[in-house]
Amino acid sequence: MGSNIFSIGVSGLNAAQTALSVVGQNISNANTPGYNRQVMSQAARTPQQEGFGFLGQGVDITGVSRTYDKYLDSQVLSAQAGSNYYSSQLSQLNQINNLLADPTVGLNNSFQSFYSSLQTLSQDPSSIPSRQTVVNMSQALVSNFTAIGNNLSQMQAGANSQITSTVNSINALAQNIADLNTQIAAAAAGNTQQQPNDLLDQRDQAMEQLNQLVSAKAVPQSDGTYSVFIGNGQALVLGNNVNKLATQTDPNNTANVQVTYPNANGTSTVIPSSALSGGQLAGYLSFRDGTLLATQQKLGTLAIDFSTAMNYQNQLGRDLSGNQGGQIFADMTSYATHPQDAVANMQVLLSDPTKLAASSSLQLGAAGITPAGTGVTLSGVWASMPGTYGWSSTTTPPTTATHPVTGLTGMTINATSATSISATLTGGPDNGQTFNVVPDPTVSNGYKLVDSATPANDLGIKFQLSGQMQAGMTINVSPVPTGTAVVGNGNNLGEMIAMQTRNIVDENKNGTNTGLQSFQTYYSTTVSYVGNATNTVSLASSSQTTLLQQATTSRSNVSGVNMDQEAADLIKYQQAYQASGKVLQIAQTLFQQILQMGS
Amino acid sequence: MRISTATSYMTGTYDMQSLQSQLQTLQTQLDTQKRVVTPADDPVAAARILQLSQSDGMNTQFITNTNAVESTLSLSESQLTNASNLLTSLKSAAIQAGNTVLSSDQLLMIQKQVQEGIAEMTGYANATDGKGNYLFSGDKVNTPPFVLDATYAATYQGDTGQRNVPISSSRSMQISDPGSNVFGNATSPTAVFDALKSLNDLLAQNPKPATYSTDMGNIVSALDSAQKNLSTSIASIGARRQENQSVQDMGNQLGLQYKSGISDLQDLDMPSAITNFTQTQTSLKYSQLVYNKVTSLSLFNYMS
Repeated sequence: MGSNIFSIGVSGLNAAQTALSVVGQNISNANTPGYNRQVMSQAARTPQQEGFGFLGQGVDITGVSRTYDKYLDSQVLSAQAGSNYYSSQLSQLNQINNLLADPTVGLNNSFQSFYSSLQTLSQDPSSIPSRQTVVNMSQALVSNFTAIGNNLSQMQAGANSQITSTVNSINALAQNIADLNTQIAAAAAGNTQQQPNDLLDQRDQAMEQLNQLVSAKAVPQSDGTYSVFIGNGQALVLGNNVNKLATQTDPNNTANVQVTYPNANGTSTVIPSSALSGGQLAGYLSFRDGTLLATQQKLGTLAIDFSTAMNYQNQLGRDLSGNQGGQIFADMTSYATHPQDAVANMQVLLSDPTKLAASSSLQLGAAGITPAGTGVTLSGVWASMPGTYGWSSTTTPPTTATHPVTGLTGMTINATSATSISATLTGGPDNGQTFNVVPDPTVSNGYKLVDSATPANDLGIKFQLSGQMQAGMTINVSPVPTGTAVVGNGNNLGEMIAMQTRNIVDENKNGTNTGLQSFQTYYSTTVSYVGNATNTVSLASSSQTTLLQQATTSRSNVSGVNMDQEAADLIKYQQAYQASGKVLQIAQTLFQQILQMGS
Repeated sequence: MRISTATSYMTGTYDMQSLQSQLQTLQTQLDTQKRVVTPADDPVAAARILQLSQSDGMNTQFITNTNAVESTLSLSESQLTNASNLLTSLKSAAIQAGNTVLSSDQLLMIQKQVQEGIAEMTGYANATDGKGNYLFSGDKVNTPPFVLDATYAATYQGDTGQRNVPISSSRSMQISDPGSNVFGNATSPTAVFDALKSLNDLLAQNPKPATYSTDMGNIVSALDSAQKNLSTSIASIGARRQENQSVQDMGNQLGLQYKSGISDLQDLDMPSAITNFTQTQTSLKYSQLVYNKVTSLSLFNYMS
């Protein structure tokens, strides 16, 4: 009987001591990331049957388990993936957003300065200083384009290097999980009751870190290991095996990297960006292939359409030496199929200010105006951008080859009445054809040729008289002989100026010519696009962050350590220990009593 | 409800972080005095601001253009007014010369006056702007529009081109008048000089031809019609100056509207921003205080 009291007391002493160790472990690891509070469980020993009934045999420690809620943990994992997906995008988007917000870098001022310089030149088209200003402003505009382009390229390179380093981190964490799988399988060895809690915590913590990088699902196996899957079912970890991801250069765009997954036969398959849904990796991919690419494409489209249009009009005019105008900007029409690469290649070709084609390529012909003596003179006749100007596809840019003045040898304007005017062209693509002439309200006594479409389009030739067109008048027009300078003429320049507000930018380039925008409107649309993207991601990011905080808090409230609770437990088990000690003491006293009785 | 110790730390930290981030946003807004600092702050307003500043920039350039138009037109106008005044005095000389009682000496003196007048008229017709460009030679701004030979026979070397400067998004203003329209008429680009040459030639004839009076009458009426032409040009320039002025006034008005539009979209409501700032600052102070209090609560404090 005495031995029974002893063994009961010792079992209580042991249980209290172990419980104090567990409490100590909890206190020590209160701030360990991923640590789940451990609890010792104890149960009364199987009682022994006596004549009067069952007698208790003391206490047994049945296990030490961790407080772990699988559901709450998986919530934290998916919140981690979501939160990091958005926060990694947001940090990148903020860079573009801030870049475009900077008024000294913004393109709008450069566009305005460029067109202002053209307007100033229109006051005196022969002025070399004013022409030089145009050259300088073209250069400034292009520098501005390329500065933004370079910044975007750097962001692209940054995103790519982030993708590569994220893939390396994913591999390292996968290896970590595989190693822990091995240890856990060895330690647990099929025993589902006794688990190596601290190793499980470490593995769950590694899963959490992995989910910050890429959305990953862990599937527990019967041997205690985790199989980890990413994307649309690619196994990253199987037991102690890791299928390491890799990056390779994108063959379609050598500036970018792709994420690949190894195949059994040693080859590798590209994981499409769309398959990776959460985590930093998907965030960087989504930024690079989404907003960044779209911004690069939009700026590229702007650069292509601007340079193409200005070159087009310049080629229709004559420079200060009377020669046909050339290209102001490097030809970028070939970038229309991949506009994201355009800005980096933008360049000003015009360096000689006299080469700016301000004057018209047409003039009053030798036959002049008949009949003589009307007093009405021809103030100017010039080529303008046709109403049908545009891209029929990304590979067919507008060309001056089909412009009615290309190859034109003469034009006769006839007025049967003051309002019924027609013009017949000789030479060029519209040789022998007669077109209607209607007033052009932008200049006084201005007229323009229109085609036969409904509604009629500008054909691309305009003229201005000193007075109203009169019935019976015939005006003969001929090209200005090459090399004959008409230095004060600014008619072609006037058309260049008009392009500032003309809707030219065509994002689709499919020949429909709908939804066109002017250069500056398109730029502000682009800025707004970036602002919207940033704003949306910023909102999503802060809601995901809140979600993560809530999930983390909920999980922590279940499985985290509460110091007050541990302090209370310390007191509780200390007292239990003391009490069990007292039981032993009493047992000893009883035993002494019996010994004294015998003496 | 059970709360882990980490939760009380985390909650305090999250709250303080969020308040600090709000403070920072408010600080940027207060520093720049702008509500829309980056496009993400209000994407729609950001685009509208850009469009308004584009319109404002264009408008500013148009106002600059109207100033240039005004100076060029007023230069042309003053030259033509001088030319018209000169023509008036030459016409009265012609009328005086028509008086048959004048002696040949007196007629020679008038001829001298006419010759000087022709030289002066050539000066007005070949006037240049500040940069040396001829005002009345059409597009051939480097070529003097009128040359006279020894017999005062004039040739017009310019063309009929005229320059336009945009003064609004829908209007270009003609700033040059070809000499053939101003000093010439429908039949001759040099009508003024033709009439003056005829006057000079007639005065040079000694003895006077029999048709002297009729000839002089024709010359006076030719001078009259030339002057009418000049006056029409002056009136046309005056009308253009007036239109230019009203477009400029409108531009200035528009400029104010654009600027106030931008300001409405972009500017910060200072009182409410400052109130927000103060509120957030106070909240942060209390968060810090509460954090300190809550985290110092522990049962271990009472264990000895």
